[in-house]
Amino acid sequence: MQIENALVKKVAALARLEFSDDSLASFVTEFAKIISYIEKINELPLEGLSPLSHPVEGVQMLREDKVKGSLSISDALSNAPSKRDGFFTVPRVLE
Amino acid sequence: MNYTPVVGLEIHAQLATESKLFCSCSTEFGAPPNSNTCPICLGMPGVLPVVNKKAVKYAIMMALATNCRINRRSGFSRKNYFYPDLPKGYQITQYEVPIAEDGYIEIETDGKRKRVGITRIHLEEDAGKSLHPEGKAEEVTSVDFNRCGVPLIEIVSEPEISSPKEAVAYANKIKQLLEYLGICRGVLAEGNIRFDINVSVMPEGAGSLGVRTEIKNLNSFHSLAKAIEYEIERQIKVLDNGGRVVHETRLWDEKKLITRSMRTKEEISDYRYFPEPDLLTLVVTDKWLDEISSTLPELPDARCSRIEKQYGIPHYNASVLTSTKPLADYFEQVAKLCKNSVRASNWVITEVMKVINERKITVDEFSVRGKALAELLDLIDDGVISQTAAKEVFSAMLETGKSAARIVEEKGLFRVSDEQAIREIVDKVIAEHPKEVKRYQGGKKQILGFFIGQVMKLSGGKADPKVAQRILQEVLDN
Ligand SMILES: [Zn+2]
Repeated sequence: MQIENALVKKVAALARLEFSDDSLASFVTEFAKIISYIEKINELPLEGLSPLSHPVEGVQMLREDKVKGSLSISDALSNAPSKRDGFFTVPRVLE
Repeated sequence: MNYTPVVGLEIHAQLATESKLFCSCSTEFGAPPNSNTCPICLGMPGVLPVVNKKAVKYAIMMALATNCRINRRSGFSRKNYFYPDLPKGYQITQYEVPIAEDGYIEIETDGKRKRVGITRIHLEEDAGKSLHPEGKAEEVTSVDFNRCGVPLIEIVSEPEISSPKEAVAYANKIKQLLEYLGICRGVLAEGNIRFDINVSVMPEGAGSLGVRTEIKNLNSFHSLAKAIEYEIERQIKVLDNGGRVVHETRLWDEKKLITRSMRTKEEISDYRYFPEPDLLTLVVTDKWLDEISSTLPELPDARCSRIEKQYGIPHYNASVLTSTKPLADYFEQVAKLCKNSVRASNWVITEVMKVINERKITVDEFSVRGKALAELLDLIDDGVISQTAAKEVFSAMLETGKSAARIVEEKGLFRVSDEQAIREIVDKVIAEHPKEVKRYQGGKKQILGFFIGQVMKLSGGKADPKVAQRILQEVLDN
């Protein structure tokens, strides 16, 4: 897989991260290394095997549909950098 | 150029569980903002989601009702995107293997039946709610996380819908199934059911589908139909003018009744799905599946044909009566208790539904219960009161809550079949209308109806019309 500036920039944008041009270049090198390491898997003979749905074997436990109470509104909001009238507030998002 | 519209629907339905999908917070609607949250649904670090069994059961029920294949092993994935109403930065949803696939439902438009395929049904969590207060001073968006983590199923149709009318019939059928199963509150105004659509148009004779556009978050049947209608026309206009349709998500403007392009960077969505490491494979055992299918309630189509046969009522009546479960329950209660089930079906469809629609109430809130209505209808069939008098009694029952028999007694609404009384009225009518008598005797026999009407009027609707007709003919023909 070819790793280019554009791809790293796209991934950074999706993750809402910003890099200087210098660190961008080093990311390109590091990404390329990681990807080529992972791509070794493609060398395995996997024909005829069904895909693994989950890396961990086992079955999901289910819980009964019971309400067990929630945080108080003030506790829920206690870590919020910005709040008003019981709401979390963020810079205006235009629809 | 002629075009065939091709429409697919994705319907999000909130499941009527008590608690959320991955935590034990309440799903109550209308609670104070952020009063139903916990570290799990607020996306705090280090917490673990645990799946609500009832939500899975409800998803399976809908899958069975829509003839889907249940995947015995399905999984959860993370769908990554940033939005203020999504505290974790990802939504837990089913991606690669959903809980159910390959189903269908039947819809009816203009008397024609059609099968619409269901591609898949998957479980996922709802997001919170963003509010954008009006006014210039309000430069913020407020977020309420009460809805965050409420269980949803997404029902994805095949692109087999070809008109706004079919889309509404399909959406209505899905809503009806959800309500019959009792797994969704089904209140569109509260956002319990929301529609995403994809629309394209195919030039006649073309072998492949056209480029489609998507419109998200429609929340009424009206906007569903209007948005599809607009989008079909818009795309045809673009193509007829030599342009091409751009694959994009468009916004529905409820006020202007148009769709418009969003043109934001977010348009190129890249959700980078990957398996949710905090949840294991979701397994549905034979035993559980049997248990769920054996307790599935009677569904609308089956109930419609049963009611049609069992009570000998017209198909149209049966389909209207089974449109909602409470209405069908109400009708069956009346029909079982009264002598004439065809009359019962007509009364429920006309008189009862008129009041319910006018007062904007539900069938369960309707004050004249099934037994009381059955008693009223039997008074007609027993010849105690006329059809006209019955309507008056019905209004009085609504106002006073008294029984039909008591109102008939108090108002003296007994039908007059006493010949002598009717003969007196007939004489009076004939004396008052000499011109009409002449015309009748001159050969215009069809004005007999006029005389019967006059007799009914003078008797206050109490005369037996058959007796009135016989006496009128007797007197006029001699
Ligand atoms: Zn919670």
